[in-house]
Amino acid sequence: MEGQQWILVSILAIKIGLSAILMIAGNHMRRLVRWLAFSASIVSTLLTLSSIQHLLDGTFQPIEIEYLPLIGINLSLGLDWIAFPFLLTVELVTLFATFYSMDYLNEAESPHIFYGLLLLFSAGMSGTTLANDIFLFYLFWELMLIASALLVLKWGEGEKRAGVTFKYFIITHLGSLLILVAFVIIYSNTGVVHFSAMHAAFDASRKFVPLVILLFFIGFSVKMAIVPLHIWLPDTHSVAPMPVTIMLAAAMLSMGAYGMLRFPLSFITSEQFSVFSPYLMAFGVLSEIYGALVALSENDIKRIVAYSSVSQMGHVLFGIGTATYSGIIGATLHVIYHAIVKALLFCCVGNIIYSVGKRNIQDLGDLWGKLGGQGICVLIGILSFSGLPGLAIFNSEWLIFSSGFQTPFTMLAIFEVLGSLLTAAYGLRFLIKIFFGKIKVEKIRPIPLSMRVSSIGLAILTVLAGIFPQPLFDLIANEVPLLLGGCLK
Amino acid sequence: MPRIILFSILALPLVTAWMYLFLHKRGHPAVARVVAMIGILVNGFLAMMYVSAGNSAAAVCLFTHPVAGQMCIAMESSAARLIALMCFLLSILIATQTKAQGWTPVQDFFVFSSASVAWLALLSTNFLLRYIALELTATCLFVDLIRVYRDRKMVGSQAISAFINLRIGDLGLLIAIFLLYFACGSFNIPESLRSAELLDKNKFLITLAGLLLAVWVKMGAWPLNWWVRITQTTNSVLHTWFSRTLFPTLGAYLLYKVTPAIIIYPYWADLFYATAALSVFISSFTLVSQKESTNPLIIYQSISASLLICLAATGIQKEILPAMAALLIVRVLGDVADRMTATQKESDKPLYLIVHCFPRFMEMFLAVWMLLGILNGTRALFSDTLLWASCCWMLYFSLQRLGDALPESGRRFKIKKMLLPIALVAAGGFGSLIIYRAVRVWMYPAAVFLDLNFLEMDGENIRHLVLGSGIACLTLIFMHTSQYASRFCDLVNKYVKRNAVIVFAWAKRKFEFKDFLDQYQSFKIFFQKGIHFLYYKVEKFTSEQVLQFLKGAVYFFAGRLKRLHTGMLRLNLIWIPVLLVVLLCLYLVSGMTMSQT
Repeated sequence: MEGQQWILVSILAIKIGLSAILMIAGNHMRRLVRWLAFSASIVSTLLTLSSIQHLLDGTFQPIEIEYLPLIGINLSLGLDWIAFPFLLTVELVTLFATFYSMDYLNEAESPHIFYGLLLLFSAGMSGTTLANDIFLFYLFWELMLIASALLVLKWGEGEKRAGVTFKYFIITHLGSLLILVAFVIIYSNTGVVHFSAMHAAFDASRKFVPLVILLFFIGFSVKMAIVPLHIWLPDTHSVAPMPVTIMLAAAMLSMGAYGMLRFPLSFITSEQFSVFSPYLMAFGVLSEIYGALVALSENDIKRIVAYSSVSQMGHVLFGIGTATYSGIIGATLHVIYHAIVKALLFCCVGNIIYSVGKRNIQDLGDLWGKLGGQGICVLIGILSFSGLPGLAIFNSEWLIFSSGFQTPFTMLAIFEVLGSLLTAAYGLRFLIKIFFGKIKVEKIRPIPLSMRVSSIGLAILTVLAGIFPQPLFDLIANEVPLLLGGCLK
Repeated sequence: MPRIILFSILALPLVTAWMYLFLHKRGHPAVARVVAMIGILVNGFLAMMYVSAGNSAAAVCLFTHPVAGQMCIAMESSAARLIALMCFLLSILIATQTKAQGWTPVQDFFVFSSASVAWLALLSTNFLLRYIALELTATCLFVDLIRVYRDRKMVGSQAISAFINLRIGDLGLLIAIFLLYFACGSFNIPESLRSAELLDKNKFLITLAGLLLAVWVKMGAWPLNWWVRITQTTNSVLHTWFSRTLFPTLGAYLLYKVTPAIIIYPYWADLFYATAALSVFISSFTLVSQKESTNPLIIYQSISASLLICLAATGIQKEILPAMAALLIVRVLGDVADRMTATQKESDKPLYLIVHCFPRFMEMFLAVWMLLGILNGTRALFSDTLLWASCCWMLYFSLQRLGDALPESGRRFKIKKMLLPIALVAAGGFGSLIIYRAVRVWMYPAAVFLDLNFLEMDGENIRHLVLGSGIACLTLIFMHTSQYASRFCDLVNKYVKRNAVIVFAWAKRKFEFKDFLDQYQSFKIFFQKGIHFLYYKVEKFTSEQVLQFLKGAVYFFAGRLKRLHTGMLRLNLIWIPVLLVVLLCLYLVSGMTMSQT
């Protein structure tokens, strides 16, 4: 194996290996487990960053391992420009989630198992982006689901966690099954499992393509929590422990977007896609407006932020649906920015709940200046979600909005733009009620260091990403030639 | 060197803001105030210096955006004058500000910061940059408001309303920007506006609506004027700055810049004038109908004044600028005097009369002086329209101020009661009314058409201009009664009772001069009643009902949708829409597959 191939293997091996060690022997080193998990996430993030140069040089060769040679299935790992932004997102979110967990899980039961599963969850997402064939892709896709479901089931909050986990598992698994059906159709019609041969196979045999595209869109929409397939999300996010919620909201939702870009979009032409374009855009707008409306009427602060994910994923779907240069780049950028901002807001929500012990927005108020900078962090997060210039999400929203006007569906684009008004409304309500409301909260616990540093770090990242969009934009722009037959300009 | 000056103009308010905050933290409030004043004045001076030094309006690039290209700024003479005027006004406000309860220096910090982004909005040649600057200005207001409300222990939903209100305008602008961009492929403002002709009629209509939405909101025109009222609830330099100067001026400047695009089609110009007239009518009417204070009237007049000053300053006539600046000084002095003597009005200090009446006298003097100057001048008729209009406006304003002041001063010096009606007539006389309204109607067309030499281009446009102006003029004349509603408010009830018989028996009575006076008053009462009816039945009742309905609808749907989640899941109903979607998609896909086959 060459150097760059070691990078791919190491990213997965570190997490999976350490996960196994922690789950087997972690009980004997309980004090060390959090540092080990954090170190693993640092190393994998650094490895991901080190792969940029190889990607720019174009020297990445996939790793092939024979698995079922009789039926032509090999396991293949690789990294390209489509996968890279999502891998980076996963690694960054894992880094902050593990750091946040350090103090969050002080009193938790079996922290070694928790960290083991958290790393496995992260490995599932990293593996999904690194997989280079449909077999491995599905393997990691399901690993991600199983690990996260176990985390919610064991460490979830409240008595309903079993029911919520069941709902989460069944609904997202149903989405996965649709994807599996699509994979089976592809394999049975073309015999191809490797991504590199997929495009040619799609070109040669057009008969099954529309059905497969449809299955992919529905399947990945479940993971993206697009209305009306989002019903698993609010409950799961509100019940899951905060580090897992951060991973779910900030990283796992992006896997749906990755799936959409990887499967239909990188293998089909823009003509094949154009039939679906208005529907995706319409569902994107619907999701954006619906999520924002419900967030506006919700009182549970965790659920407000959860519903905002539904709304924000609507933006991503809209961007993808436009099938334009700026739409695709905007959607990918939005995934990354959304991950940062969503992680920030969930960190802040976790800190507020930890500190005050309440999560109903009607019971909170007047907390400005009393939570060690959390008010400013929430302000940055909310203004970023509202699309304020100079903060992360503005750049991606601008691209997504502009892409809508490049299509013939101008009215959808106008609805998309006007829908963002609702985002500002629920965001500002969230901020004002919690930090400037009339209610006086009497007992306030000090927030532990790692939890506070996580939110502040993410707030700084939000500002930096907003002020300096160019580097990320340049990296993401490389994915465009790989999509829709390279016809986007 | 020009580049450095441009950057300095943008950076100086920010530097001033930080220095102001730093000095306050160090316990030197007086020094902080002086530094802020000097900083802002220097800022205005730099703007004027830049233009007067003969620097061209060539664009200077700030940075390059991945999509929108080069973000440039350029200093046109109109923008320079505006900046100078606004700097001057801001420095006066700093000097005269009174610290309200709960005031903190951070509030002023945001005011100075907003100045910096406002300059960016004025100077930007790129639509994206202008949008960014406008958004940041609104954010400054929002952040400031939530601090103010927090200190005053009030619910911050007002701040949200203000932000959302301003956001509506910004989103309108955003939609227009995108449509123009995809028509001409550039975010450059002049290029984009020139390309409005390339849009088809539907898209043009949307672009127009977006642009007007942006202008409407910033100028605080009804029904998008929530932010004006909300800003008024704060009692510091902040509200004066935002509501009277910054936003109306930005709105007016935007209007000035986009009007060439708007009036491509004469029909839209008519629509624009009529809608503007209607909006002005309703907003003034709404403001006047509020009984709680006379503040709304002052806001309204201030907004009108800012608009006028802006339009005059935006490069139409250089000669008018010194007089306009003088007028502005006088107006500011008047405001200062009002503030200084606000607590002394109940006493009989002679200082009150001096400081209160002197600025009005000066205003009047200036107006007459300018009027004479124009009468003796040799300029062409059309190019003087604006000057005429401005002078008449000022004359009217002065008379009105005099009328406001006289009754009170009359009481103070025991002037006979018979003199009071004369003062009222002087203030609200029909002649001045017509002039004022005509001026208001002619301001837009004169500014736009003269500046663009539009009159020479197409005779059809003149016809439409006259038609539009006529409609607007009629509407605005009708508006007159509401303008004085607050003044006559207390008289109306008594007068209606006394003159009800006269009103209805008017046709039967013989005509006499004395009766004419009565009929005139009766006629006014008739209008008053009509306006009150409109206010209570249309504005107050209908608006409240509509708002209530909309609010209810939003909460109804939001609440139902929320419940839908659990309900649908419990009953497994979620699969019905999913199934429908799947079936629909399958249907579509099968159709497509068949067509491919």
